Amino acid sequence: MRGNQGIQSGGAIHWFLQRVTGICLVIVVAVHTILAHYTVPEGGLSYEWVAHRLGQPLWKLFYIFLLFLCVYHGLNGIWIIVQDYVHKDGWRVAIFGALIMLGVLMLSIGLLTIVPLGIRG
Amino acid sequence: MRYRWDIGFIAWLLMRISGVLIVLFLLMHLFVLSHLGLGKEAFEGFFFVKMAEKPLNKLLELGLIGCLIFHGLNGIRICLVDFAGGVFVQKKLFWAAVGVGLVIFVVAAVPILSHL
Repeated sequence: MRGNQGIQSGGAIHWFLQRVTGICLVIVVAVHTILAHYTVPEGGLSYEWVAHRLGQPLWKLFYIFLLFLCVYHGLNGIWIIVQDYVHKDGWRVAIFGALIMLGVLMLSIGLLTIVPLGIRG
Repeated sequence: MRYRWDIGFIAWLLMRISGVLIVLFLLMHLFVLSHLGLGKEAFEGFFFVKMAEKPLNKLLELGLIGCLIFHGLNGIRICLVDFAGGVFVQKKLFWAAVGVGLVIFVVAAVPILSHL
């Protein structure tokens, strides 16, 4: 158990934030899922249909909010699981670093997609 | 160490499994939708976007929706247990989540399966 005294999740704030982001996600994901998967027009997913919605400022903000919520909540969840099974400090540091890089990558891909969509035509 | 297969443990285990599966979906979802940035032809011609209307994908979608519904409702249960004294009724809350979840799942599955 000695390894458990090493790198930690950062304490109670992440435990609390996991619940706060979780409650937000229940609402935001419900809206997103109903909208994006149950109002798809006949003929299937089209570029215009997605781009039109993402071109509106409030929906853009909505999706940026969703992106940050799910990347934090998802990767923090993985980190919580990792800490239960990985006890060596070296592995923990390596996995934590990998998760941070994955998070930055996911946020970058997401923002680069969401922000310009529907604006530059 | 031995695990006791009671309701609390099963809920905890399912929470982890559904959570990991949702993260894997999220990675794929972001990758596929990043093709929106490449324009209409690149997006609609992309293999995985064309896959979206195939029957196999509809079945995977049911799995995803099942994971999301369980994870969300059990998440509400966890918040009730942690913040609202729900610890004394945590097993009842689990069955409540399962019951409500099944109803939502059936309502969500009908339009998906009717488009198969």
